[in-house]
Amino acid sequence: MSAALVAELLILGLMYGLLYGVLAMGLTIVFGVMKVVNVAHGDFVIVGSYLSYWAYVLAGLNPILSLLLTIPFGFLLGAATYLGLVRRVQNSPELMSLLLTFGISTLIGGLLLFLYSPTQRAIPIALGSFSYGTLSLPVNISVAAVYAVAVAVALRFFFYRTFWGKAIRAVIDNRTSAILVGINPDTVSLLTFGIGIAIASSVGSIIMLLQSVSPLSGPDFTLISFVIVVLGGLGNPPGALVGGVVLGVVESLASLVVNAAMTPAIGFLIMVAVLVIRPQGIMGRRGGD
Amino acid sequence: MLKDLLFEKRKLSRYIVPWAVALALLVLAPYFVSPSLRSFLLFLLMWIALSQSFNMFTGLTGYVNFGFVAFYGLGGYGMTISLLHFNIPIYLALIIGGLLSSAFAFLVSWPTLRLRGAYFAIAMLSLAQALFVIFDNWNLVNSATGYTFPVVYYDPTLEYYYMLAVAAFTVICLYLLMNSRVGLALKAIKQDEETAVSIGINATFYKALAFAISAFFAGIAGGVTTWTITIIDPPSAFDTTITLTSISMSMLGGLGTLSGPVIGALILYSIEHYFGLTLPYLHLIVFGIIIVVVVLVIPQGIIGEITSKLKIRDGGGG
Repeated sequence: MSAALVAELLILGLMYGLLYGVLAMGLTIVFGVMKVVNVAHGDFVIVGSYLSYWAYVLAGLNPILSLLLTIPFGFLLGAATYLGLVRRVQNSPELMSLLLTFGISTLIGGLLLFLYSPTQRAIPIALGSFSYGTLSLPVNISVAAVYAVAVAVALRFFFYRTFWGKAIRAVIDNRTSAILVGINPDTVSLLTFGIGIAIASSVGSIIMLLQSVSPLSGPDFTLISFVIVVLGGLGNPPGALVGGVVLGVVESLASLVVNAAMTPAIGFLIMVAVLVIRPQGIMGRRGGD
Repeated sequence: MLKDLLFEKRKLSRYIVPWAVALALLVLAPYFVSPSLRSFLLFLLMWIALSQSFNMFTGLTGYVNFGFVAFYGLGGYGMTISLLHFNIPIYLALIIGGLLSSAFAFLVSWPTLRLRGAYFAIAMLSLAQALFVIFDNWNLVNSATGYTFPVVYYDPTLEYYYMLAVAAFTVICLYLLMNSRVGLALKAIKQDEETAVSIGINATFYKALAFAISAFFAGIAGGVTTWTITIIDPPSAFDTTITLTSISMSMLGGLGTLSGPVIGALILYSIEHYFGLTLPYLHLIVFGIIIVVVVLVIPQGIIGEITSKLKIRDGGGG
């Protein structure tokens, strides 16, 4: 076990952590604004993946360029899903929104399976690796990490320097007060859901640089997002990033000790530990509602 | 002691007739139906058993168990290992599977049942996934290869009657639960857990109890199914589609009702059976649409809406 290997694992963990952390941000803002747990989050990722896949196969479009497609498409899809379905269960018991998004998840998975069969799809672009002295890092995950950072910076700008971004933060912070100062919660919810799904689909495009996907891969991404959201605190976007990095690094280093296939079990253990010891997450606020 | 559990006797006579007739027909079925229809009935009974087990916990407490398949899989493995490794007779092996599942439920109930709705659902989903990964890599249970049953255990008629017995017991047990003090406590917890706790109901105990009972029956159903299909491996034992289907069936029929999951299972399994033969995966789309439509339009399910609109009872408590 060399220092170079450990350093590589740390950086890889960091990079994956950033990517999944950004994905989790999409999930956490939806919960923060609407108190809706979107079980279909990972399936929207796969929708973006398939969009990029077909853009590549049919038009030779590079997955990074396909972001120009998946981001607006994701936003519109999210907005439509909100308007048509999610809006009606916003004020119902949590159980209902949980089951509704679960139904949506099943629907998306079933549709994709029906249309495209369970075959794994991959975009065969090999990007090689960088070398820094004794360190060697794959280009694809580096690109993904750069993308993640770009999204995080863009979101920070959006949430702190634009009206609607601040409105979203206000609703997450205290919905009633936000309404009292004249913010339309419905518009905020619409925007938030759209952004959340746009993030998910865009990550789906980037994922095609790293792995293959199938219609059944959705829940895996949902689970990762959830573990991260729990780690970082529900409704806490910076927390999601931090949680993502923590999870990424821990799982990466854990692969030194444990069979790589067992890492989902580690994610679960971490999540249960956090839920029992500090339910509000690493950066969460007190209890919540 | 049984009287302590039942706090009020219902007019069983009128209500029990349809159930008794259905049971009688099912008992006699193997004598006058074709093997393929009997097989259809067997799997229908399996789904009835699974949906009712799911209903026993989620329907009565309001906590959504997204990791439900874990109980099914553990029961299947428990039964298989008892049977194949230790030569324990089938009826006992099934019970062991169910108890294994129950013990697991009890064990994880401590960290998970203190979680609120969404957290609990996701925690259970992760748990089922974790179990899949563990079993897939664990040599003690044959990891990814799993087990295959030797031909000597093949007995379709016996398998049918076992499944019928399991399904019947889940219905009876749910009836008893709903009409007992336990059911009353669970109802209070479902409506408003904080208030229930504040008036002295030990929510943790009752939730864990319902959880363990649900696991027990799911485990036994898993065991009988494994016996019927003669093979078990991690992907089939911890298949999330099983959770999904159980949820769809209970929701369609009505979570928290007695006959709901039975009706839901009947409708959806018939659809799956028909479409599965002609267009694979279409049934998944149908299930997804059904869940969405049920949540938005008839959240209490078919039986739930009927009983609340017509103000009749279908066997549930109070």
